[in-house]
Amino acid sequence: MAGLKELKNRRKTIISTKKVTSAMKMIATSKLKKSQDNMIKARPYSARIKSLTHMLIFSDGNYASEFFVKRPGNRTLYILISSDKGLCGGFNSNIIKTFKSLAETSSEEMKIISIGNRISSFLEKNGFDVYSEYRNAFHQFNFSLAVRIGSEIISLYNNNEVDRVVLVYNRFQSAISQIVVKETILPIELEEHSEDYDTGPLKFETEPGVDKIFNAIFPRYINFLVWRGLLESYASENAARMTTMDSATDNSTDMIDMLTLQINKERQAKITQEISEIVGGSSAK
Amino acid sequence: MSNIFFELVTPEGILFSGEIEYMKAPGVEGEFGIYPNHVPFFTLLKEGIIEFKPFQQNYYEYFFLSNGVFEFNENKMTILAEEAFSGRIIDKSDEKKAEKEIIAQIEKTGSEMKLEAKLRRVQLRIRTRELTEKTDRQ
Repeated sequence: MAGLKELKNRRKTIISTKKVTSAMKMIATSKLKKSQDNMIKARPYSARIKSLTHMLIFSDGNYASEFFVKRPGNRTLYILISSDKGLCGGFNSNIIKTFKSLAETSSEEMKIISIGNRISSFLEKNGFDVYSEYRNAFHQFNFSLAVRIGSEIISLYNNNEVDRVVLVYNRFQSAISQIVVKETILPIELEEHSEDYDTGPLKFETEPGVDKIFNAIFPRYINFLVWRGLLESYASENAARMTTMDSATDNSTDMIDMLTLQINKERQAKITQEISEIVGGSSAK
Repeated sequence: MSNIFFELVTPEGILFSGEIEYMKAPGVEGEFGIYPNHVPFFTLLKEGIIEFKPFQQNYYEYFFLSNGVFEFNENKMTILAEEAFSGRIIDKSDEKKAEKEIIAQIEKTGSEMKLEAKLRRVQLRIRTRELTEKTDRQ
């Protein structure tokens, strides 16, 4: 059985661990709130750019853009989004697991862009070839990050180096549930039902011509999809960290209770022993 | 007199939403002005400054845009911009400092397209701020 001193030390360690985990939980909670706000703020833009893209596509049935014609090849660009920091439960391991099974089973010719320290380190350690990586991506990130990633994607796609672009990230469902999704962002998949969108010929005077506008808007649509992925992933990360740290705090509370009980028992036993020694000693006289 | 309902939408939120009387914007094919009852119009905006007059106010608002998609239909106007800053939130001393740094770098390493573009952007932001200060004084 462990000595009294050892038990007390252990309890002290766990008490300080608990302080750390509960502080981390509170930080994650406030960051989650902020990242959820950011997701809400992105919604009007999301709705507009979507309806705009669809309006342009449906207004001119003859127009065939590179951006939504399926290519026959199997060269796929994967954009993997993880977090920069750990201690967020299964958040990063889920991404890694998804990627591992992709790498093992698919016959695609893969190109990878990694975002976040965790996935970048994993890929480096396991000798995967990474086209480009973004470390410390989530430290004060803003839309320009999405633009940087987006323009890389567009140039790869336009130079005909990849046939398909897939975004892999944790989608935020609720504070306690996040799922890994594989979203094909290029070629653009059109929504079949076009009722929500104007489909007739454009009612607008346009300047420059429609095809120029097409080519300017699609990259922005891609930038936006990347941005949405980043926001979803960041919110998921904070949610995962919050729940993980919450259960860690609960666990340390349990452990502190258990150790306190054990310490008390130990102390009691020591006192009893001392008393019986005194009694034994005096009766032996 | 009718007005234009204008919304400036960016991925980081709606930056302006309200009635305005007039707008000037930097189109890719040249600067243009919009008054109420303009014909439906659709165009792209290049990097630059938009200027508009809120309804029944006697001041102008200025925003710096990195680029934009401009849509006008039945007195409803939307600009989708990837990046936009109001002249009211731009910090002039920060931008001036950035301007100096870029100029120093251009002198050191010679002129590059990328640096020139950066410089232009900073100077546009300073201009946005100055225009805002001017309209506030009047």
